Amino acid sequence: MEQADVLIIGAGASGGVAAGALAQAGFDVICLEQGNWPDRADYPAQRGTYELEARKQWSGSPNVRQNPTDYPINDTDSDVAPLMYAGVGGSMTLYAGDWPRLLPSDFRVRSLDGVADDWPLRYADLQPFYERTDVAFGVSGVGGDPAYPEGAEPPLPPLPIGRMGARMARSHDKLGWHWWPAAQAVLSAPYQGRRPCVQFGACMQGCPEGAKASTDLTHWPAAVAKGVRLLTEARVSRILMSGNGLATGAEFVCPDGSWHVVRADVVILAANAVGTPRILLNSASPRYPDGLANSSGLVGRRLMVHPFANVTGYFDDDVEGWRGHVGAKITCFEFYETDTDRGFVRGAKWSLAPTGGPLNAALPTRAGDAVWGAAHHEHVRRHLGRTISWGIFGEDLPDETNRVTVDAALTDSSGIPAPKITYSVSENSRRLLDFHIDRATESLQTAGAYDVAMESLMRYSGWHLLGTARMGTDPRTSVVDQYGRCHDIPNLYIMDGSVFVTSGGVNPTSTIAALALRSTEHLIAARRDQQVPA
Amino acid sequence: MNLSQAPDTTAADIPEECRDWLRHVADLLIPASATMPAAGDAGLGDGQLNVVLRARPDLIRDLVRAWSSTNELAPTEALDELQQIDLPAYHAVLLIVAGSYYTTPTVLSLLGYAGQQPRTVRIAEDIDEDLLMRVVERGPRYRQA
Repeated sequence: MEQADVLIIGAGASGGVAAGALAQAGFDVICLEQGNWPDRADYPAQRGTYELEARKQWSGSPNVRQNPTDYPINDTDSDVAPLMYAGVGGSMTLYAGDWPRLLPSDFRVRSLDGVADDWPLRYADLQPFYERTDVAFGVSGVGGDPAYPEGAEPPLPPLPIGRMGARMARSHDKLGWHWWPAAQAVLSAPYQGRRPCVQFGACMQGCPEGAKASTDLTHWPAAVAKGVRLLTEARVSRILMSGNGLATGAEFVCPDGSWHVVRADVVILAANAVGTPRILLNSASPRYPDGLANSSGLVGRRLMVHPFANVTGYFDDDVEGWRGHVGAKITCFEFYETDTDRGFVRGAKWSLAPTGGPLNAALPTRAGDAVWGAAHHEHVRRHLGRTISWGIFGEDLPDETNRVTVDAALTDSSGIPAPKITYSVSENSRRLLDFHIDRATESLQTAGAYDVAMESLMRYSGWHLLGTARMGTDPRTSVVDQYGRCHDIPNLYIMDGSVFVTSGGVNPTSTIAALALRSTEHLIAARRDQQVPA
Repeated sequence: MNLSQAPDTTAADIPEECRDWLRHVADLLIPASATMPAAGDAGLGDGQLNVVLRARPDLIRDLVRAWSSTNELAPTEALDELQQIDLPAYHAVLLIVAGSYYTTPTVLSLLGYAGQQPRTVRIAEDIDEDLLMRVVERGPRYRQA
């Protein structure tokens, strides 16, 4: 049986940040990761078949991908399919590297707009941690964005915005709207031994250059060198508890079917907003019939998934729509803040993204069967390289009926009950997207688009999974405190997207990483004062 | 042998009759134009079927089932039939045909597609500083909170 000061469950974004800080502070750490170390040589970006592989073995959906290390998810009662990846680096392996922060208003939604809840911390509390994680991950961008309060410059200059970014910048200049070169966790120059981006345009199937930040590159090698024990293909079934109400470790299973236990003084869950509530709920026992850390009844509830739309403009000339990093060339926060005259609250951030290669041009999901036959070549000519797309990430307000539960029948290959997701898109989200689609259409038409198509509420857009173990000050209405410590179990921490109080309208990885660093440093500072439940 | 039920069927096991059937179907889906070849000639005709099925072996079963169930029909009718009675097989055929075509070097060259080639990033050369300054001059976009 392994033993450690701290057990981390999950080696993704937050698990890597926590491991790095704990190792630096001299803690003895074990991490259990259900997946494997990624092999960059296996990433498909340089293979001609990469667009085919993106639809199966490199899909973001574990249900489509069906890797041996994935667990299935019952998403039949969900409007959106959850997307994630199991492995060292976690879902960062397949994310786009878009690295915006939450805005100040995101932390005060109740106070400002009368909806949802305020966070127990403010932007200013997190800003120093954002700036430090920017340095650790290697963020490229331009300082001075008026969408944010003043602060440190990103450590690297911006990535190219390309013909498409330049064109849309001119469009927004005409309209008097915000735009800014996007902050990306993708290297624009050599940095800390990593090579810069070479613009393969396949970030979401793994970056073969290692230019896109993920903790298997940015945090785990140093943590392992400092003695952190990272056990891969180790699938956790449950958290173990002592008689005095503290977590004592976890039970896990290996691919050969052997079961093991790790003991630790502190347990950190970093398994994402689906995996974390799954483990807490699967840890139910006669003493904890509703699962662990669940006296509020909120474990698994308030699942938030950013409502997403793509608005694509068609142009007569070649804008190299397939080129470059995928996350965002430029962003727009013009309509991020609430204006109640619009008929909804909160807003959305726009990311200007490439539109993919030839197979994506030939098989756009919105085009149906009209792409075949005599019209095919004209269809591809219109799409390939001649399209620009705004990706719109809207804020999703928390709703307790949107939730993660444990499925009564479905299990993973080890027999561990699998999660079930129940999720409906709200009326506020629909109105929000309708408004933003209209504005994005205006943006593209001003840039010279002769036609615009949109795809709203795409099913396979569940990249951002948030809120299923929210933070707060009141144990009756929250699962963890502002540092991720469970109200019910003071040596059990949650450090992933589960703790978000509200979703904001931006890609969350930057915030997940900053919160993990803040929580871990608080854990380290407060370790000598370990509480025991009464 | 019933290929659709054989668990270890590989691309090499796909019979020539199935390949012929697929080429005819492919010509319907992606016919020749004044500048582009038909999919039965380029892509599938260039041996790309094996490339596609090696990359996506999960499609083999659907392909063989599509062929087995409709090979006595004319290509147009075969596609209609598949769309009506076996949507997974229908979508597999579409993906295989398009995948074969758009992984063929000749086709990519004709399209002028130069993706997936490494390029040196030119830092900040394409950002118009004057436009950026005007964004700054318009003032903060965030609410103080």
